[in-house]
Amino acid sequence: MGDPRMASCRKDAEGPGAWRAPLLHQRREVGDAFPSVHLIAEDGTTLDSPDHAGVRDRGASAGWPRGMAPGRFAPVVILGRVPYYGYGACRKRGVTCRLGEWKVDGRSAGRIAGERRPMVKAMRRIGHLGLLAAAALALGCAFDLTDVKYQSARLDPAAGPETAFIVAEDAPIHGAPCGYSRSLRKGSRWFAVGRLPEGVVYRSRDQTLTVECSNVFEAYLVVSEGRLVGFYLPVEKGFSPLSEPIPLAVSRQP
Amino acid sequence: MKCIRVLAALLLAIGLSACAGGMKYAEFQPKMPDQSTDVGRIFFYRPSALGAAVRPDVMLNDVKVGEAISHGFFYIDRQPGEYQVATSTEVTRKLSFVLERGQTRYVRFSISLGFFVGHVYGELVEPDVGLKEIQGCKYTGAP
Repeated sequence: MGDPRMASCRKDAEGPGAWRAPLLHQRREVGDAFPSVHLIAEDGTTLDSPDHAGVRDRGASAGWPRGMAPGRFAPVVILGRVPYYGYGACRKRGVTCRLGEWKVDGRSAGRIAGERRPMVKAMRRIGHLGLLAAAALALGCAFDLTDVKYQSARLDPAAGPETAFIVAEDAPIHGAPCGYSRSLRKGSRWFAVGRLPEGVVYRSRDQTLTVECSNVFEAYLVVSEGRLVGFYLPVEKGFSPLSEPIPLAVSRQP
Repeated sequence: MKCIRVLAALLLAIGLSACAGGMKYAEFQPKMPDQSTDVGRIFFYRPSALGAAVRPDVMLNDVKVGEAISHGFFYIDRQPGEYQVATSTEVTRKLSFVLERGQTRYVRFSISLGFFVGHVYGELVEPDVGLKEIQGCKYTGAP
């Protein structure tokens, strides 16, 4: 057998408005004044039992055990019941239930913190989950909101005298749409396929180049005065500019 | 504990059944018809088992050409031109590219996080990368 106070706690904790906080555990003479129990709320309000405190001995629900003759000693266990009131219920009653002080026979028996009803707790958890879900949904929607920004462009097949080049050294591309990193491979050959107002358009058979956000587009290079200025999207027929042109180290091909 | 084991076994079974079953690329490759010089060939493959239960249809220019099945691959021959590959779960992801005569292109499917369902998306990969990754995949056939 363990501590009878704990046993009572466990047993009673199963029901609503569980009995907690052992306040008193002693033997008293039957017939004496039964201990008075009060909860002094945070705001100074005095709350009487049985609403906020309970009195129990081993076996009887409250008060002195029946049939026990006065003058005999009986074990008395008093457990303070932690009120399961939410803020709304407390406000309605005009008291603060968040914190209180137990008094047994007018003497302090410890401070306790109030608890919310399990349903209130569950509702709050659901509320938190709802918030998380809403945030995730907003994030999920963002998947479809980002796309490569491009303007429609008309490719002029005449590229002019600049026909091809070879990338002389690996060229990382910064500032590509949506921050996806790309790199032009050293030694890759790029052939001019046309011209845009922004520059000459080159494509390669040595390297597969795409730009992407939510969707992925094959891309050709648009080069002007030795600098990569953006991408031409051959299927969408659009031009997607780089935020900052990138100088290219190339060797020219006839 | 027992429930957890049963659940784990169930999930494993679902996961395995969602993966591709068929000939591996190395076995299948000799049986593949030679590519005509007039057309281009597109390989579609999904090398990862992640999100195997999600296997969306693969649409090529709005026509279903197969399914993106984990550890699976299939291929199609098409006339040169512009193509758009789309896969839909809770959102539609698209990939566009140009196919040339005699060219072979590799489209790899991966999965990213979604809200209710993962998003399967296609990427155009280099032929050497595609050829290497497709080796572990099994042929899932034409639709």
